[in-house]
Amino acid sequence: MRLASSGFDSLDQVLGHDGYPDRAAVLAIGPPGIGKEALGYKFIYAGLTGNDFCLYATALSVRDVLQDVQAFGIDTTQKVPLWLAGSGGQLRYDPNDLASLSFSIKEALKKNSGRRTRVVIDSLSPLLMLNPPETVYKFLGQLIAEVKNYDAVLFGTLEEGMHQPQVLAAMQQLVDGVIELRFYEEGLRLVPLMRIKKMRGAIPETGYYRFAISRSGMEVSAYVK
Amino acid sequence: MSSDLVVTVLPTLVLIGLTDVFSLYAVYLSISVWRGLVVPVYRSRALWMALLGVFAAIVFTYEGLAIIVPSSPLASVEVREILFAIPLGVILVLINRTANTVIKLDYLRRDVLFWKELRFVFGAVVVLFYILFYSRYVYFLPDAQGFALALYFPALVYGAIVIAKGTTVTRDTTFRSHVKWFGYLLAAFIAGNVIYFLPISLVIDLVFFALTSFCFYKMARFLVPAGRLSASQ
Repeated sequence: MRLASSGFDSLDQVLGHDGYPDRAAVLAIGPPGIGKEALGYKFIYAGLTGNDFCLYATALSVRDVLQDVQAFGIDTTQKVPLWLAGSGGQLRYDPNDLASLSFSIKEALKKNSGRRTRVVIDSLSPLLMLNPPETVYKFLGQLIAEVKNYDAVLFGTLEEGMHQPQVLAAMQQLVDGVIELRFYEEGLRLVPLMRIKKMRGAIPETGYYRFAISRSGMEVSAYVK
Repeated sequence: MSSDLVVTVLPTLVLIGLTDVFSLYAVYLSISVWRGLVVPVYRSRALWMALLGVFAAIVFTYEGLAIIVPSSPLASVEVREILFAIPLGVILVLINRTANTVIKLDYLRRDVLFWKELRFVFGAVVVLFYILFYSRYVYFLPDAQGFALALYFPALVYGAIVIAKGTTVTRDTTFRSHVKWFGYLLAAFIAGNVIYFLPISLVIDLVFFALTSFCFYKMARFLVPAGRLSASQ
């Protein structure tokens, strides 16, 4: 099985097989600000470094995303992904129009079928806010099926606290891998922990990891109570 | 002396203790969140929460001690006012950070009531508030304090409206709870200050300070959604 590096060596090690599985869809779930987007940025820029074809889909403007990316110390001047963005991108992203979004991503996959491809959707939450959940499940299901036809990996983010638990569960059911980043109460303490809830091809993990994301990278260590 | 001990000193000490426990635990939670988050806007909000908690603990403790030892020169109205103005400004800064969070939480980063433009004016109000408030003591301008408060309250109300309106845009239930407790905190804080000027026991004032710090603890608790680790996990 070919692997796609997450962009963080420390995360690759705990994913079970040095990266995300090929032809897979991976979801990062967590509260705003905890670092899901950072995983997406690093994943894309690791792909660009390796000359993969990379597509970044976001409802935000390219300028807003680049500001965030630069805050993580990522150099955005050398190589850039294909932007499917709210504004400023080569393609227009409209979270209300799932058909157009699906078409744009599928066309990009088809045009670059000879290359290894990385797609990031940041975030899937607006889609769930603006469309009936069933429509989003269908959209995502079809997109994942398409990803599996090509040498591609899809990485999506999902905000915790904005959706019903059954919606979160259904979204997790659709994908091959789920990384959960969240705070946990342990007695009086509040600790940010990461959990690999599932990852295709890897032994299911039950452990939690402490993590810290900064400009210099990501530190991950097993959490012991 | 014994009746004074029962009526004033013991309740004051208990209320100071409660206030400090809530405030300092909220500081601890805020710092934990600040350390765990990555995105600057959210981190900044957590950091200012922690700062407000530290100032709240200092000011409320000082107020309590001033009630117990009113004859001390340190319990003078001037010293208490100087101390009290610090968290007032920090509350405005926290409103600023929360309003920025409101915009960041919206997937389209839409503006709320011209906040993106007016936040600079808001920042200037914070600076002006401190200058005017303290100019009474530096330049002996008693009227300046009135101007400071005349600037302060419209800014406070405007900021509160921006946050309340912005909360209707986001579906983040944790953030909504955070803002709800922020509203309760402001209400308890204002009520405590109104009571200060009424001819009733100052210990009642401390009850409102304890309530304020409880609201503050709840705000910190809802800075981020948190799961619970069970023993088996």
